Amino acid sequence: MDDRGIVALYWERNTAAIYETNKKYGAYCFSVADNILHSREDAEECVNDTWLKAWNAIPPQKPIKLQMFLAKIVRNTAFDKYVYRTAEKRGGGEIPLVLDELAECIAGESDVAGIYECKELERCINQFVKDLPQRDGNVFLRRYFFAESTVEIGKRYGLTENNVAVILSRTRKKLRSYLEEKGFVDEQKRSFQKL
Amino acid sequence: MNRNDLFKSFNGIDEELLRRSENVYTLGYKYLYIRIAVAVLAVIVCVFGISFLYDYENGQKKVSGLAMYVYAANGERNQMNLNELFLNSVPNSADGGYKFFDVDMPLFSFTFQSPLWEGQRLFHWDHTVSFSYNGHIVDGKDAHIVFFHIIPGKDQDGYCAYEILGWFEEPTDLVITVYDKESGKMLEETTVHICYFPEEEIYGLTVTEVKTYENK
Repeated sequence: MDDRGIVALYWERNTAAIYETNKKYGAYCFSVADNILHSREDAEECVNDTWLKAWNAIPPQKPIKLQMFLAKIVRNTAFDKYVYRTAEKRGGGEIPLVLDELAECIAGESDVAGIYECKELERCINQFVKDLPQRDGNVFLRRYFFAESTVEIGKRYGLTENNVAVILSRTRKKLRSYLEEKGFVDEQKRSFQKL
Repeated sequence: MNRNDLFKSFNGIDEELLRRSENVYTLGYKYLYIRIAVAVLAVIVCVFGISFLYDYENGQKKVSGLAMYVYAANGERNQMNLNELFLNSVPNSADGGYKFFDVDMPLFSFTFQSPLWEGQRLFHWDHTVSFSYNGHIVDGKDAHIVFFHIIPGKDQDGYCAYEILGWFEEPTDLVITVYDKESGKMLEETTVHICYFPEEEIYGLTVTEVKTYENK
């Protein structure tokens, strides 16, 4: 069934929507969750939570690209579970590395707080990725949205692992400069913290 | 903002950008396909090369083929491929190239010389060459072959070439056989299919079979 048909089932409040969603995107959502959680049981639980959240979100939402809509939900859900699990000191996978790499872009705390600033940050990140060359943007998203390993990204795009690492390093530096320019990161504060 | 917040902020990425990243064909995979295409091409070349070079006939190994040079009406020499090729017919007229006897058909003229084979050329002064068609040996007195002869002169290795001039009204298989002069052993036998195309007034010439034998 195509995405339009599945979304129509959600709008009709037909529970077959969950069945069709699971049939078409169950494996995909599981892989997104598993990349973050690195635990089969937690990933499966995450996917089930995703179906409930999707059910609650549609309507009023009417996603055109259902796959990516679900990817965002499952990613968020998985990451919340990861944060909770990390507090209990369980799990592993790529996420610790991914978060450490992202920390380079902000290097400490910033003054950003509040819902408005978070939304603005999302908008800025989106614009930043849009402005990147296609290759670099795709590699960046596979790493920091989908939490894929550099090996997996290399295999996906026919690049060497070293090549992927270089692309990510350069793009993180660009992101850091971009966030400073937009005021999300205070350059002076970062310098002070280095001392 | 901490790193967790930054990670979560990626949820604002446009779904079209996320979908684009799923496409494995946009990046390095094009180079993978190029590599696959080159590998397939290399395999095909190797298979054909090996099958062309190594074939067994009566227990003997076929090792080489025949190169052909065609002399155009203006005397220019061009090497032709070992596939179907068209020759410049020489019209039988006072303005044309040759005029022998009263020939209604346009004449063909082509020259045979062979490539290096194990460091030694065929069509050597130490070789004898016979031309035959329909089982009949061409001796220059045929109704359809005006002449064939060894092209005057030879290179420092003793290499020479044969020229044949004639006409065929019907499609004909011309067999060119090369013998070692001393031992009389057959070295190469090439079958060339010749047919005339009246609309274009040209001859088509196709090498249909080449058999080359080791000179043991």
